[in-house]
Amino acid sequence: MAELVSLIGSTHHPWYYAKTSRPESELSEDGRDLREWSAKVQASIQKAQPDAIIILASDHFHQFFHNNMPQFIIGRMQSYQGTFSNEVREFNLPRVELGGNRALSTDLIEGGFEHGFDFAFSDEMRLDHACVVPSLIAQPSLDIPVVPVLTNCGAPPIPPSRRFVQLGEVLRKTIESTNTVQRVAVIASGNLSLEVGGPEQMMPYPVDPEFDEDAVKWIRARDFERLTHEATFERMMTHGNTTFQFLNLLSMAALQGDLTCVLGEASKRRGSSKPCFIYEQEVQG
Amino acid sequence: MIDHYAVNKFLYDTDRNEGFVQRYIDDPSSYVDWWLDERGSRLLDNESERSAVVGLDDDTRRALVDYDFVTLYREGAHPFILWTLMLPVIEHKLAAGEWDVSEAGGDAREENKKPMAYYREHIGEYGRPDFRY
Repeated sequence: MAELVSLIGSTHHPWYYAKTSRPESELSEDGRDLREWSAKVQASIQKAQPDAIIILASDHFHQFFHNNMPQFIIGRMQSYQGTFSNEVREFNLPRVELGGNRALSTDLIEGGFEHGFDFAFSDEMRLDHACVVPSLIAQPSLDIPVVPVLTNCGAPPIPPSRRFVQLGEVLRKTIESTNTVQRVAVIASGNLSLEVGGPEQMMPYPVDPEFDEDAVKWIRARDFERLTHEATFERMMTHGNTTFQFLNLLSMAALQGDLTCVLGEASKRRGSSKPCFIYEQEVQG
Repeated sequence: MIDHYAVNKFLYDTDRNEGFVQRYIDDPSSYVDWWLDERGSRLLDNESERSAVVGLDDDTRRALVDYDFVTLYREGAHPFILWTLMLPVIEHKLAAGEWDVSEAGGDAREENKKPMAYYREHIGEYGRPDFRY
């Protein structure tokens, strides 16, 4: 039976690569801060030694659209191509290839049936920056295979917040019942208050710093009553029109189990606050 | 009232295809007409079959031809895909000197700051329209 050995909650800030891939002397404050975040995540992942990383993220209308929109879908490939042409154009994000683990994907899908979650699946999936950026942050060498679990956080009707809590619970149970691998990490890719294509897009301040602080507190306290109450479509819209990817962090909180939260904060940036969560196993002895 | 699905499909289908983006920039009127005839009602994952949906009224067609993103935004086009397609359009218009922007602040890659400011300046007064439909 596998165990969940590492849990990360991270930004997928699309300019991560553009901001960090330059000489030390040319880094902006934000670039330096993002590099520090990457170093912390890398250290935690290296300590945990996972056989596979499940990435819980949301496609941004790159592969999926309203003609056929899955609410929760698991990639089931042995390798994944990542980054779309308009992300190269807009973000200068590199095209990448990530290994997969098809057997583990199938285990998660079948485990979902057992626990009341009928995942859609895709045997032909390409990953966008929601998966690519956290992978570059956590493992720049991209050696560890991944299993993408994509959630609909962009195309209403979006599943209600309680489903994201259940998703976390179901993923933990399915991870703990697979024999395909021994050690699993999960990276939840999301954001706090955020606006894209709206009046406060990419302003030099967070859309709603008060929400960002509160949200981190509720997650750390695993206050699911408050979290599900606050994370309705209408309420999230008041914090920015793209805040919905906060829902992936509810799944993360529900995955915590006996892991210890060693870092949980809304890191201030020049723009939107970024979620920084690292959960690790208790050191024995 | 715009046909939300049709407009979003136009934005999505155009933005994900580099050649389409260039055609939309080069000759919006011809491109929009071509798209309506050839792509609008064609299934996205089966190009030999059509569905019953997707047409645009004259006002919506005009808004797409004129790059009138303010109308589309106000009427509830999906803000994410509206922005991602309008970014290269606005970049082109600014570079050509046809549109102008006074400030260029914000948290973005240097190249994106001016188009972002232009977009914000124009949609700002409309807040966050509900894009559910």
